[in-house]
Amino acid sequence: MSEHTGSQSSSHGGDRGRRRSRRRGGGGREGRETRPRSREKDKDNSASGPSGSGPIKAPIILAKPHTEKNRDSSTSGSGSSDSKPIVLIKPREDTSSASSSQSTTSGTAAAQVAPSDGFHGDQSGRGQPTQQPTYQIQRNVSSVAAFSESSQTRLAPPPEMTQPVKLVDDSLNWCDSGIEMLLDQTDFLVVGVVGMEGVGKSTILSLLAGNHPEQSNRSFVFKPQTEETLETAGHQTVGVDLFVTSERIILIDTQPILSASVLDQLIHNDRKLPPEVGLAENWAEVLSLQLAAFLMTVCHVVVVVQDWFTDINLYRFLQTAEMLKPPTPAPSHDAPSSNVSLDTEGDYFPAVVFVQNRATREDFQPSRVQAMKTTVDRLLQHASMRYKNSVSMSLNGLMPAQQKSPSRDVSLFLFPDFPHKPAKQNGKMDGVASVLSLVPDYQGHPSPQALTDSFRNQIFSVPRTPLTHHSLTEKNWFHYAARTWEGVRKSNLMAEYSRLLT
Amino acid sequence: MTGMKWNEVWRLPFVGDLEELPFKDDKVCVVGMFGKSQVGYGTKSTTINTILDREVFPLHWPDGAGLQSQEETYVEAFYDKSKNVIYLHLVSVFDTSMLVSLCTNLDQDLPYADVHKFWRDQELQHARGLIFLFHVCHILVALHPTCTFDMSYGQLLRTVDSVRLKMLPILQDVLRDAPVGAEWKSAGRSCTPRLLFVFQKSCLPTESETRAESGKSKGTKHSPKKRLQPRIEDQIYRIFRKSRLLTNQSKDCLFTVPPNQTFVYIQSGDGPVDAITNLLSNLHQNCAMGKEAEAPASRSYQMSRRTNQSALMNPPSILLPTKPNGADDSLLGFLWQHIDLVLSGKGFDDSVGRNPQPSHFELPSYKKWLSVCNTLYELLLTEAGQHAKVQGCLETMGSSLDVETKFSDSRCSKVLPLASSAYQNSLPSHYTSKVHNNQLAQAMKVFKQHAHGPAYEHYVLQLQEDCEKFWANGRQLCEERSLTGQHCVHPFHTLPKPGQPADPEPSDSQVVPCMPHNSRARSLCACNCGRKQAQRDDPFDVKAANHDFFHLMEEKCCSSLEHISFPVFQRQPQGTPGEEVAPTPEEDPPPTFQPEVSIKTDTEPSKRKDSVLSSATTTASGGLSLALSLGQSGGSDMFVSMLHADQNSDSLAAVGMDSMMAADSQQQEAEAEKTSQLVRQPSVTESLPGMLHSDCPPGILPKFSSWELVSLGPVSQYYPSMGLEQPGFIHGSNFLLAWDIPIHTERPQQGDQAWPAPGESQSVRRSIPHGGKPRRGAKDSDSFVRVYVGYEYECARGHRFLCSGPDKVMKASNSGSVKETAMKLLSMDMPLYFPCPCPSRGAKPHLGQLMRVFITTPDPPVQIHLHPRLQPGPPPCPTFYPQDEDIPLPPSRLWVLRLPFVYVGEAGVISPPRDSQPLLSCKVLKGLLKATIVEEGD
Repeated sequence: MSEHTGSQSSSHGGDRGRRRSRRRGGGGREGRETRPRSREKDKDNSASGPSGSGPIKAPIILAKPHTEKNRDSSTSGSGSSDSKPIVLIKPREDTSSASSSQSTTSGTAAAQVAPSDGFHGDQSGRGQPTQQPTYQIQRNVSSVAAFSESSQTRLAPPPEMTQPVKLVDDSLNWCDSGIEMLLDQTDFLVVGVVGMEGVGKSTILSLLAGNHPEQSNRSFVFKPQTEETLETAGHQTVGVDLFVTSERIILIDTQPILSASVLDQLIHNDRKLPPEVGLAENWAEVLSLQLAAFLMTVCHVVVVVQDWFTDINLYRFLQTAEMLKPPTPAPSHDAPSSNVSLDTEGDYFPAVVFVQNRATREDFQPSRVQAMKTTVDRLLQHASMRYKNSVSMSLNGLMPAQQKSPSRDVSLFLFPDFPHKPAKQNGKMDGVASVLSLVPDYQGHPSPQALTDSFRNQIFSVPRTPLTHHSLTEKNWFHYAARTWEGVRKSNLMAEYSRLLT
Repeated sequence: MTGMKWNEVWRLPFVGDLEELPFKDDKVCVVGMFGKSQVGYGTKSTTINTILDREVFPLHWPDGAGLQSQEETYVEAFYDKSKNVIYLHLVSVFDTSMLVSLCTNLDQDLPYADVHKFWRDQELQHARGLIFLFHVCHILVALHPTCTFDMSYGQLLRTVDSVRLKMLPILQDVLRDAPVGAEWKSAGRSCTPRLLFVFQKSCLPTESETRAESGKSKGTKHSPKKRLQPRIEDQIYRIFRKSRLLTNQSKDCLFTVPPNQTFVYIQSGDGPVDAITNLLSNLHQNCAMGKEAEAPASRSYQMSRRTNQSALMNPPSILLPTKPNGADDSLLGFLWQHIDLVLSGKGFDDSVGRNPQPSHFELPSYKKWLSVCNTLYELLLTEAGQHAKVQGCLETMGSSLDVETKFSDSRCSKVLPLASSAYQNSLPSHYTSKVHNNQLAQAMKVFKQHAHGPAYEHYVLQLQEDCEKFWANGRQLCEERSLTGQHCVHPFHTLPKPGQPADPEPSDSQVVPCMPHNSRARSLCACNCGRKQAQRDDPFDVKAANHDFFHLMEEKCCSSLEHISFPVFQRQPQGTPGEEVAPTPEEDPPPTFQPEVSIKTDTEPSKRKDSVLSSATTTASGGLSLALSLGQSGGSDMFVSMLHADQNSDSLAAVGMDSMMAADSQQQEAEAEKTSQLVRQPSVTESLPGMLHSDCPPGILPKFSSWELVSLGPVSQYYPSMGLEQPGFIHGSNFLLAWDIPIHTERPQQGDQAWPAPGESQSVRRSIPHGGKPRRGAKDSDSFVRVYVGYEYECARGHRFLCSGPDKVMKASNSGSVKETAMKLLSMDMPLYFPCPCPSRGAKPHLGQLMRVFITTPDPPVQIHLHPRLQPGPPPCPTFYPQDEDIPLPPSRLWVLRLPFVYVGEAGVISPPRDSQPLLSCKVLKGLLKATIVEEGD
């Protein structure tokens, strides 16, 4: 095994060098530069970069190989022309800076969609990532100065995140600020969440991110619906959010799928709809499918949250998303032969974990759990996603009565409706609180903390199947995700499917 | 009507006499309930029961309890006579209990397409139920377990609407004789129903919580629920307007929503609560508060549901009905404002816009409604009463609800040609199944990458079929391999029957050409005696390989030579008709049957027993009669022995009966033993299709001999100084090697190398031992007889050479003197294959194969016996031999034993050793030649 990786890295090394020199030649700036000198320059720039030399062009171009060095061969074969980046930078910058300023009115957003879509339309998905670093570093220098320092120096501790960053904004454009949070290491786990409106996606992810179930909703990493949102039947999470824990778990929160609230907003902003999609309703469905397909491509684990058991449409939806999922990019031709075994395995499919949120006392009965598992199993029996053996209620003594089914166990986890519990007791029973504390309430399920701990442990130890045929670092993953998102948005499969919707 | 009680839930359709129905003239309002639901206390029934304030509709449990049918969508109904409202409850796959029981009973091995169709059929049934409800109800209530509008209703209701419009003529037709008004008949329904939404659980924090928080911060006049309700209404209205489900004219719509009344209701915050939780919390509070807890006297069902946190003594199933107040914000109150409009006969006026058209409305009597309901139920929900047109409509509905299959179909059919062309890519004109399978796998890979979904499996089969067809359609290569491992180069063809000429051009009648196999490989091979070489075709069967070619060559060269024939199967003229004529060479003498054969095999009992059993069973009946016929034809030996056997077995059986009741098995064994002696005689009914070897059933002779033994003439033909003067020999390796046989009569004292004593029987034979003795003896030439031996190897290109040992090609000096002797040949196993010294183009040298053994026989008293035993492969390869016994060679001649060209065992061709195998894994066992001194007196 080790010799394979050795040969792989060496071949990539050669490739990298070739590519780098080619691009530099094309840039025309320092075409005659020899390699050792350019490396020195790299260092110089990386040291001087954060000190605020944003508008100068030269360091940007020199810093580019620095990040690219770790991109591995996932971008190999991307012989994009060098004139493009310059064209690219401008519309991209506009969009993201506008979105980062959080002052996007619907009108300007609509205006921004058009140019960015146009520019992506004439370009292959392959070529894109080579240009992105250019832009990211520029942004890095100019806008997010706080993180730039740590991301530039290798040995500095990773940036500590306190709140998620946008991965996809409300007008469904990719945001690049997330890359600041990512490192150049390969040991990471991506967990995404998908579910209908108000089922508790953000809550579950916050618990994974380290929040305690007893904490108030306001202190959660991913903000659950506030009372105001609840009262207006709106959705809280817009677009896609990203959070990286200190354990290098990348958590991805998404806006609800098949949501009336999202649909309502689409109808409200009618002009934003692409003309080729007929009904807003179909557009909302396709959008949901795009989100799910995206998660299924870039996540190791996809957590499917429901708050009642069960909507058959959800399983249908998951299978459709799986059907429309973009194919895993084939390994490039110069990849070493050790990847042949992966090649035969074909497409990547994530581990899918079903979480039953707000489960009642009855739902925790072992027979009920078994019935749920059987149902999920039968509904998904022909799905390729790995919905078994990732997470189980029978571990950690959560359900002592349950028979342990050793091998083929549907990944199903139950959370009770705990966030309101303490509030209820404190709020109402003030008078008798002292007495009640002596007689603990019967819950019928394990304590929220025990459930949370077990769930976290189990999710974190899900086997990390490689997402692509090449090993990815966190940053590579980010580029891969960006490419996937664009691919999913412009997918022919999606277009074909949406045409069939009546 | 006798069986049905009016105050119970019944399942549609209504059975019974409408005339005897109580309350048949009541004017009724019909409320239909549909939607998704959980199990247990989350069933839709709970909500309906709350409206009724009684336990009427059964709750559904995960094990299927409470369901009227565990497989099919059904509608249950209840007539609340106190309020003149009929409640219809659609139970379908969207109810979790139904889903769970369907899943439990679902066959696990169904293919994807079938499973997908199964679920889509279930959903289609649900949609049919909805069409039915939208035709017979005044008010429809969509229930949902949580507080969100289910977006999927948009598509579903649009489909239902379009199907409704398509089916309208049929409905008008069916309703022509119904006892209802003209407008009802033309519209197919009594009114445009109102659609209401009830959410079983609020997503809002519980009221207590809100109170606690809002008490601190702000005091708004509306509860959060009151604020949420209109927001959801707005959402739903916008979505339905946008998708044109709702238009200005209510008459044209599938349903309406009231413009100025609420149509969304959110049930209490905690949703359905189960009885046990209630009891537990009561118990808990009782324990905590002791006697202070005041036991409430009585609560309504509705109240007990809603105020579950308050101290309750009675479980919720114990109901004390109270008259509900129709005006409050209870669920019934919400519903009542709509029901009231119906029962008052006003109808709904839900059109909006400037020129609203009046919408019709008819309030039916119970009886009338039931008769219409039954008619429509039969039309829409049963298979029996279905119109062909309804069937068509339902099919379109099914396909429009099943986008996945449509997508998958179009996707797969798009990719199919791609995959087919991947298969056809760079294919040769004709190819083997291996190539075919490789290409097919390639095509599958392409297909798998791009095609997904439920139709995948179907199209994979089609792809396979297409490719098979493409291949079979004249591109198939003949898969037959020659015995040397070469493919036949012809396209797929049939073999000509014996006597029929080959026909390479397929005539009109036959598609497949008819010709013999040909691998185009040819090799140069010498004839039996080795004097002539000729090209031979790559053989495809044993006979062609080992017999036919040489037989053909005989005519040109060696037919005049002296032959010693090996035993072959010979057909008796009295044989059963229909059996193939065994082509035996005419000059072959009839096989000599030697009685000692059977005696000899007696020494190996286990083997004999096996053969006995098998042959006894296979040839028992036929064998006897044929043996008899053989006896007539002169095989007296056999006849006698058979009679003898019969007598023996008879007597033996008699003895067994008399004395000690010998077991049957023993008797049979004894009998079989006797039969075995018969069978050991060469069979006249069975012949060996291939070659004779140690794994063959004993006693069966081959149809032809794969070996040949000819004499090139007297010894004087061979000049030791010239070597063999035959074509193809590599220079210098054509000299036979000398073998000196000591013949002096002096009694040997050297232990194991002793000659047989004259007094001993003639059957005691000693081979000439190896060792230094002959060389030592060579000093005294008088006491030796010199014979010449040569093991000749021949390669495919016709090069021939002799070997002097298992690892060495013999080489004579330029003058023609040979230093090597035959010692190694005689004393060691010799390889069957040896690399030819001829120059080869590739890295791998041609293999020469041992084809002939030359031997000069001396004058008496020394006699040479041949004992050829070949093992052409590593164990468990059988040994091959021309006949069981040694072959004594007549004296003073130059003999040639021609060996088989290919070796075919029971498991097929035994191929030459591969590169990795040692040469000596295929060998001629030592002791091929034996010299004995025949006592002159004998």
